[in-house]
Amino acid sequence: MMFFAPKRQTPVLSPARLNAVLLFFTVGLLLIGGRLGFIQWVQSERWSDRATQQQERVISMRSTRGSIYDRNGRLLAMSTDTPSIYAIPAQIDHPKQTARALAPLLGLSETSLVKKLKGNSQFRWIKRHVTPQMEEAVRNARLTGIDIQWEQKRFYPKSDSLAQILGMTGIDDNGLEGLERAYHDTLQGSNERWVIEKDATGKPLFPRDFQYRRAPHGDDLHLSIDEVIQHIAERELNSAIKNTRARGGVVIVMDPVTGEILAMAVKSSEAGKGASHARKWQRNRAITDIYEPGSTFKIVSAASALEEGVVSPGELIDCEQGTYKVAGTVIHDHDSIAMGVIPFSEVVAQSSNVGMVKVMQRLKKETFFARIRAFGFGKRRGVDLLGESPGLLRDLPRWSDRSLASIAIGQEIGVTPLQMITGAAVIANGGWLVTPHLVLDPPAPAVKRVAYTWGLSQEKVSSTGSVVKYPKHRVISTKTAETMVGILQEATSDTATGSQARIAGFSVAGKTGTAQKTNPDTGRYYQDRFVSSFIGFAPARSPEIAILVAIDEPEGDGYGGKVAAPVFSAIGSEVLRHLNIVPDLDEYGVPKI
Amino acid sequence: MSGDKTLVGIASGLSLFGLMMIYSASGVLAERVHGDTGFFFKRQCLWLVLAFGVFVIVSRMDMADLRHFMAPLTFLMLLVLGMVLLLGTVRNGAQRWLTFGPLNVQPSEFAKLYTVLYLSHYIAGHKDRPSRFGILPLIVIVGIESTLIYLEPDLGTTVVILTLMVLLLVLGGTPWRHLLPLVAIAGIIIAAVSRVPYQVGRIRAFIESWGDMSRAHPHIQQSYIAIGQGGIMGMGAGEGRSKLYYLPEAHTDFIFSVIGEEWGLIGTLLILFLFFALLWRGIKIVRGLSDPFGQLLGLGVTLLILLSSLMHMGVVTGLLPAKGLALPFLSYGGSSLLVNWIGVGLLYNVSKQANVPKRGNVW
Repeated sequence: MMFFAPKRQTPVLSPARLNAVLLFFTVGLLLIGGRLGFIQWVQSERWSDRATQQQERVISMRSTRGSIYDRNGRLLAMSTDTPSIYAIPAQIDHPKQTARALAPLLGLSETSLVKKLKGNSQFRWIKRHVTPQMEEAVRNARLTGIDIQWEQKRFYPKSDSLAQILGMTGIDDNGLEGLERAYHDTLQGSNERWVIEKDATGKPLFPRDFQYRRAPHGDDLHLSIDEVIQHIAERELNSAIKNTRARGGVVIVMDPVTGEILAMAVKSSEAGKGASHARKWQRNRAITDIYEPGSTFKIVSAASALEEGVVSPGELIDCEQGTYKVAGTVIHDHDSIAMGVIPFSEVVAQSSNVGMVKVMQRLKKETFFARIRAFGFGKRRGVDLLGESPGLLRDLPRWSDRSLASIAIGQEIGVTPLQMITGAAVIANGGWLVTPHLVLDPPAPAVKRVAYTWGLSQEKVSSTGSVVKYPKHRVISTKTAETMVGILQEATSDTATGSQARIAGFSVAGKTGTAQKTNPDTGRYYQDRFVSSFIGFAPARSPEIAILVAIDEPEGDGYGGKVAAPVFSAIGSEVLRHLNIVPDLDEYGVPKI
Repeated sequence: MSGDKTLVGIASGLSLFGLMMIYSASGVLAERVHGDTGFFFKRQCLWLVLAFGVFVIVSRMDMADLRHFMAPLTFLMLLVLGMVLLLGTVRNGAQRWLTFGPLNVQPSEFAKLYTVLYLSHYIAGHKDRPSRFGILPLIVIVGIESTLIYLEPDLGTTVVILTLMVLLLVLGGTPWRHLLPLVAIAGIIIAAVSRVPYQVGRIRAFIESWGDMSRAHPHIQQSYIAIGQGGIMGMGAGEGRSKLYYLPEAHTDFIFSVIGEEWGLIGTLLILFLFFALLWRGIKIVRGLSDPFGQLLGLGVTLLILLSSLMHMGVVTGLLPAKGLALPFLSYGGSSLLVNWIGVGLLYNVSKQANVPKRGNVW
């Protein structure tokens, strides 16, 4: 072999040269190693972030808004997918042609459409929430740069009923008013976000089980509202307003034991001006507006006096023939019907201002103030709606010499209808201040009324979950409540102010009220503008419902006993029948045993 | 007489690791283009079997015979390179392949090895009796060869061949006066390039991109993302994402980026170490030889493999301008694999001679 043969051959490559080669390439490898250390160690985070940015895509699945049901599972609000048409103007080469083809399909004007289709924008709504027929027509037209996006739309099957309570959602399905807003997060649920890897072309690489994921869904709301009762309340309120040519009115039907609101009807002549909205929105006057309760507030006064033990129902009070001086001003009884010496229960039943003031003067104003607060006035009741007013109760230091007397007969104090019915419910349920609420939580009607013993077994009632969320506090003793029920039953007797509130077959307890409205300009009372109201409950000794009726500025003399009491009667009798409550009076009006 | 088994071990290790990386890096692409995730992997397996067979033959060949065929080999090489330009298959805008049925051959890979052979032959042959024309014949032949390759275009391979030529000439002890024409040519090229502001700007921009990596070529930025995302430990075998078309040619020109992504700094340093080991063994073998041709051939093969690797790794780490180059043993490509294994075969062959002096029975 040639390698052995020529002896004189000397290597061309000296060890020095080979070492130089070795050194040169080793340095090259070290340079690369150093660079790798820099990229993979020092700067690893930077490049990992870049990698995440470009390789991952967040897919969000929009949650379907929950539905709203009444207490019996009747649908009040729901969301469905509806098609909306949008354009990608950047892709449209001939806006005029596209507009000519598209305009008739959607019933839009061609000229305004052309404007929308021009430009370089990547997205522009053309028409949202179109009909399925329109969607199909647009789809079949196959216009370049025109596409369809499915969006949720809110439907209210009962239309305007309950509008103030349910509220509404905006075009993007966010709750704007009412329960839709108050419970927006619950209803909407949370959109789910998925981090998906994608390749360089943007194509997502779905995890194997991804297709089986269900779109997220918000929770449903189950209201304490009974749609039938709501309908009755709305119908009767409307007819009362029509008959008395009143400005408006409020009806609240509540379960006095649980605080569940069964109906809340609000009507105002100031129609909502938001005509751009699909549904007219009016503020929910039952919780936002305050009024002077007038004589209905005597329920609170009388209960306070009885609880403090400064008076007994049978104690004779001199009503001074209807005129009584307090702090330099004179207090009159209504219509100047002269009343002499009558029992305290009659003072309430006949609604004597003089008698009531005289009794209440036995209380220290601090005591009375504390009682009023305990009944829930001067602070928000915590109903699960937004915009509730705390009412208007002056702080003690700002009470004048006349204040105690005025407040005793329901003046100088502003209450919301909701506060007033909750205060009255204290008597009805045997001494407890409940938290009024509209949403059942848990969704089934929480309280089984079977387990209820009047005034005592509140703990049994509380044993369900709803009580944690809707707490109740004892305000007066069961004994005082019992006494008050008797007095308020008397107030609906033949000869009393509330006689027209009676319901055939059922015992009724309640109180009328006629409050003059204050002229906001002068700060003085109008002589001819009233809020006529009635608050009561039935059956008196084991109440199923408490009802507040307040009519704003009825025509005529406006007495609560004439205007509001009949509305109470009409609603009460129909609601009790609807609830299948067994009458507690026989045909002669005598209690059944 | 036994050869350097370590050398074969290193090359085998690199090749097997390469097979795995090719499967990982090409699977998605193979599935989309050929409907079979193992398409490139299987082909590379077959090429590896073939390459090993050729390695066995080359390692047992008589080297003296090889030198007798240099003239026909030169003719064949230039002919084939010419055919590539006339009949070659065009891919990604470059005409580099000759297709024979299912086989795609990349003659420029073979040209690299041919260059090593021819240079060793020429330099060794004229060591004691210099040619009248100096190294002019060599420059002419390598010049034609590299021009043909440059026209494909395949700038990377051209650079490798020219660098190899200069290195072997200088190391082979060529008199300086013979190198003058080369220096002149280089000077002319540098002068020409430096007068074109566009080219100067490109070079300056490239140098600046060493520091400001966000200014690197988009492909190189993808490579940074892949390598950087791998961090120290790597994302794990097959877990890389950059092969999802973020890296162009993940299984060939950017295989080292995928290694960095899936095996981290540990993996890339391991590969660097294996190439260093290859260099070490190569130099060691050459040092033990006394025959100029064997020495030059062994050094040439070592330089060929190391130059290609350094250039591939230099490109994907942004140290060298972006050029598509295969990483020896690791990148997908039959021609490259075959050529590198022939190179290892030649090294192994000469290493058998290197052992002789140690046993002290030659002189």
